[in-house]
Amino acid sequence: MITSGNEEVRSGLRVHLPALWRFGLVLSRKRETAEELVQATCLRALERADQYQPGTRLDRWLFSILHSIWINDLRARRIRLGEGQVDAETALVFDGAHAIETNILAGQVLARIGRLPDAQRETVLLVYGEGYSYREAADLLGVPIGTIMSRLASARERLAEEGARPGA
Amino acid sequence: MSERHPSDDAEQLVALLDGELEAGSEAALAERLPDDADLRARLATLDRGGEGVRRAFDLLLDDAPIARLDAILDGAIAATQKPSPTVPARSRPAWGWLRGLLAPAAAALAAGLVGLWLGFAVLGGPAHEEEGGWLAAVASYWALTTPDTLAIAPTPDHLAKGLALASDRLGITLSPAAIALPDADFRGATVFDYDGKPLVQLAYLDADGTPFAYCVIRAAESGSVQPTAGTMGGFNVVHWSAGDGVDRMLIGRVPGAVLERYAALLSERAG
Repeated sequence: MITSGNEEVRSGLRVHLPALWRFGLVLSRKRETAEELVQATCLRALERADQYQPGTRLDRWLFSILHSIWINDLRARRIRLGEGQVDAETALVFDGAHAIETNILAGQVLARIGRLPDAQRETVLLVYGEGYSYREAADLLGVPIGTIMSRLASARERLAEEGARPGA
Repeated sequence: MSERHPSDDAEQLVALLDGELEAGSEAALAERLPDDADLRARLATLDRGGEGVRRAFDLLLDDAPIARLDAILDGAIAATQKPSPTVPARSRPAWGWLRGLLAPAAAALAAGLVGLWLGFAVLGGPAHEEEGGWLAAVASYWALTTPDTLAIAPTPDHLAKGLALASDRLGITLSPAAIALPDADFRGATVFDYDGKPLVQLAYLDADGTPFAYCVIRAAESGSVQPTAGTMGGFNVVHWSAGDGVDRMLIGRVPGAVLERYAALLSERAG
């Protein structure tokens, strides 16, 4: 018996909820927006379940949906509403309870990642956080592989530079 | 020889660090490095920039508000199953009406789910010796596995027969749909015996080709055990029971966070 596309998509969503949330948080740097992104992704993925091709990577499909919603809907809305300016206050941090347990260095690295420009930050998440190959990241973000490489190089240089400053 | 731009070098060096450089380019770069101090310095900087990034992202995953996310998904499932009054594809404000629609359902579901998720605790090992016995046996067996162990893809016929036998021995139905895991390749059911009880191992390869298993055993009528994560013999393990006389575990070198989500999915399906 072949599982219906809908059941497969539901299973994929259930399994990937935390990873989708993390992607949404890294993109938006706001926890509330991350949850909105997850909600919108769940709805769209379920509505378009018949578009998912069995045998292809379900996680990649879900991530591309979330990214598309961010670019086309939520990020556009934030810019329209004047929230598009990089809020220096919107830092990427571990949540309060968890922050106590995680080590200070990880918190610093996360904050530095949060300060990267959008394009570098999303690329770093996909390749170094999610283990995407350059090819997969290029496909999802709709850019040439060379762009992926230059974003990662710039991100690493920036992270290294920030890491070298005392107290950064 | 064409002009080499500093940015080209940076891109090549990053690809080298990330294992994304083809053999020819890698050799060319390796040839330049011993004599080029600037190039070496750049490589060191790029390497340093990557330090701690993977770990920071792994820790961030632990921050995920799982109970709320599960409730969000449950709400979305409910919303997309309704015989719909036509729902606009987009409305303004974008999510306000949707939140209003889903909030009561989401809250009720969240309350019900909180009990299920409270049990996610990291242990060094199983709580009870009897319970630990079969888990340890599986972990010992798994210590013997290699990439070759699951290398040959079984035929659909073989898979079906294996599942049927396993279902029969356990006395519970293991249908292909019930045991299918997203982005994982099911590699077959094997029936074992542990201390007189039928023990079924369902083996999978994840999307990266990493083997893991979902094991199910008939147990004495035990109480329910919340999905509990730990490690055994170098493997990540999650074990649980719905208190229905069946104990379950997931084991593999797959990240513990992934096994926990598989456990959530399998628990949900078992009802």
